[in-house]
Amino acid sequence: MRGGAQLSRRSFLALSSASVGASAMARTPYGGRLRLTVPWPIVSLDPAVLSDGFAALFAAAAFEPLYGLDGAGNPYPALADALPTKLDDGCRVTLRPGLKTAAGRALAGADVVATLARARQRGAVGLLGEIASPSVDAKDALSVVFPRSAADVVARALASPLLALVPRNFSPLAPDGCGAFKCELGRGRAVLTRNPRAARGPAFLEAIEVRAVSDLAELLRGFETGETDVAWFGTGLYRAVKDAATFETPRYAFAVMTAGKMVGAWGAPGTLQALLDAVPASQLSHLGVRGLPAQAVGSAAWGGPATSIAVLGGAPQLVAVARALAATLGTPGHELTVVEKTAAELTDLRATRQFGLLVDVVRAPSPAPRELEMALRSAASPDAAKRAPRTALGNLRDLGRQLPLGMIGDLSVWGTRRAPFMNLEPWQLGAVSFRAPT
Amino acid sequence: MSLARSVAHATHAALIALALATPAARAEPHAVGSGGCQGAQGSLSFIACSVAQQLGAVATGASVTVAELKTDRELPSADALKERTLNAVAAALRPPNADGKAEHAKLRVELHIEKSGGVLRVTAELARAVGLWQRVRHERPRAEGHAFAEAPLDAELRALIPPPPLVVSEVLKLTAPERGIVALACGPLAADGGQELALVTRSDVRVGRIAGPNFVERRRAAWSALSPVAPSPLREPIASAEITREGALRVGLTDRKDGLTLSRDLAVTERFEGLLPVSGGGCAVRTDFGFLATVGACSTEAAARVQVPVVVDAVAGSPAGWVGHEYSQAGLVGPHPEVWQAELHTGAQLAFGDADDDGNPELAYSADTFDAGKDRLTFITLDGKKPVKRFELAAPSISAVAICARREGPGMAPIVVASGDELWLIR
Repeated sequence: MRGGAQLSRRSFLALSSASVGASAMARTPYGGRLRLTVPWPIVSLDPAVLSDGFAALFAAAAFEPLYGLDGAGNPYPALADALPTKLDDGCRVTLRPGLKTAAGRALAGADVVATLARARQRGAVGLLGEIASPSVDAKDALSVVFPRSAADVVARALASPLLALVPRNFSPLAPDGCGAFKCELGRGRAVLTRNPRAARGPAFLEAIEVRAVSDLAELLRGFETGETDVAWFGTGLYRAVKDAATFETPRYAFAVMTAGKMVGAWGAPGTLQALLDAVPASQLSHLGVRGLPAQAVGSAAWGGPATSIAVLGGAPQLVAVARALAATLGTPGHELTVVEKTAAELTDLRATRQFGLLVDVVRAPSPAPRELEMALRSAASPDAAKRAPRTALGNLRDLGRQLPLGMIGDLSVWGTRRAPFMNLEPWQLGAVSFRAPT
Repeated sequence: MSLARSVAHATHAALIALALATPAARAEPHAVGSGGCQGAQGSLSFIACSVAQQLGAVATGASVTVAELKTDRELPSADALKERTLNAVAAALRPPNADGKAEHAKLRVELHIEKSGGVLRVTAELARAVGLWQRVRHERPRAEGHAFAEAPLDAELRALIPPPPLVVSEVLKLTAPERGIVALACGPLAADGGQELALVTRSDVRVGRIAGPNFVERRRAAWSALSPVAPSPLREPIASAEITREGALRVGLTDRKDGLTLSRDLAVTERFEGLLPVSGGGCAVRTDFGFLATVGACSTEAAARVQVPVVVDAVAGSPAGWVGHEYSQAGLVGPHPEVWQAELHTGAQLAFGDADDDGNPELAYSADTFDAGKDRLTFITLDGKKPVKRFELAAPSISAVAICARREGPGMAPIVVASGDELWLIR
């Protein structure tokens, strides 16, 4: 794809007279628009929120954390100028100079402080549990000082996508970050366009057009009709599409079930997980849920009071999962009914816990086991997550035996993509490119 | 090619010495007694002028003979080369008038000529002619003066010394000291004027030589110590590296805020914020996806005035010109029409230089493929009419290419390729 106005070669020659020299590595082409639908409502984009499927998919495209983790799990500076420097009683983190958000706002230490303060009120409560709030270094506006915190601990925490840097007065309704894309939200749709100010490089794609759907079938239908470039959970609704390739991304979220106050003892830690482990995989796998137990174990019979399962309306995959679970777990006298709620209603329910059961989504911020565990603990109980033990769980479903939260399965993007869209599998959207067919 | 430019290509021992682990090179040709002699007058005239200046006025009018001609390969016109050299030196030593001729006719200048790689070297010994009685007494002539001069092969000399064939006689492969080389340069960076390699990765700049199967590092500098991170680096970096004929290393990397000129010991001597140093001097201006296809002064003020709507993501330069790779295209741009008239299907790794010192530049490039296993190095000559393919070499995953500034030995100038985790020295 060509960018901007082009000049003929002869005209170009007339313009250039000096000699030049350089070598360069293979180039991934810039350009292309990826169109896709998602089974999530599109309302806002907040990197610090755990319970938003759209954010789980796209926050990393628009926001960047201060550090990254290499293949060995060691932190390296991304938006930070260097690894944290040790102080007598704490450590200092300094931002790279010249950083700007997609909207052009210059970033400084005060933005780091604000980012962490709001993330601590949201999904990063567990991650930041043992890290004291930082303050801006009086001698350097680009630096913040973490009192009583070890440099390595701070660097690892700040590598979490939940702590991606946002400017002061950030609004999830008008998201503005340093990621590869800038994001504009509309009613049920979002357009992510290449961010030329991206702190770690602008995206290869020119744009990603995202549209929310309310029906799972639409995820396939759009691909078949040529309206989208990604087919979720299959190769086509009626027929396979030419020039398509199958793909699967890493898990971007978990589908979970939590228990509220209205189910009494049936909400005790481990109860829901035992029930969910007994659900045959065949009941859920056709809904695109991955990571289901190979062998169902135990009794999948809900013995608690008849109650409702709250679920986010406008999230067709999650609603379908809730309905499948209601049908599988419910028994005579212990019926389960599905009730769709708005995002705002669900926020209230999570805060008050005045519900029976809730089928929810928990973002998987990164592949790091500890971070996944903290995300699930924070979703189950933010207060308890602050004091979470330093465990190393081999299987995250085992965590469900300790929490009032049961793991249903993994959510990932899998299905079919149009072949020219390359490198979609890791779901690092800034690195996705379009290679025009020759 | 002018002599002044050709100097950068003059052949000394180094890089191949690197490969063979032989001693280092000698100094730059012009540093050897050039005095007031002008390179622009031609290599033979320059050599003759230098020899005459070094021998001084005492040698004026001396008779000249050629004692020896050494070449690194057989020459079809060896006698003509001897004669031309002899005549040039004799002309330089000729007195402005006949005065003193009788005296100086007793002096004799003996020339030892050596053609090595892309240079011609002349050593002159001034001796007084041996008279009859000295011969009877078996006395040897006493040396009264000595001179040395060398110059790269110019058009005049190339008529007598045909260029080497552009063929691959050897490919030396060695493990690169670091993965992810993004730029290479090969030129006279060593303190003794010998050729060295500069390797640029996203984390380091290294300089050193190839000794046997190893890269022997002389110096390394981390980018983190050289330049701050660019506010918005490219997702895939573009880098440049050039070793100037003055022995400085100019490097740029789109990950970093500043383009740099480094000393032989990799100390920063110049910074060019937001600019990429390019071969042949000057800087290119960063854009969102590459840099503008023109080169100007390395200053922010000059960069602000650049308005070229063409973006290139690779440019290879040499004193013979330049070739640019259009951003996200397989096409090339540049003053050599054959590169854009022909469908060369180049990748984004380019190197440009005169590998055989024949005045027509060569272009080395990677393939237009995204399959690392199908990558290959193609080597062509641009003769002003059409590209002439010399050879192709399968080389997986080429990430940087350089044509060395100097030939070292009878063959073409070495080509250095970063292929996967390896460095290839092709000659």
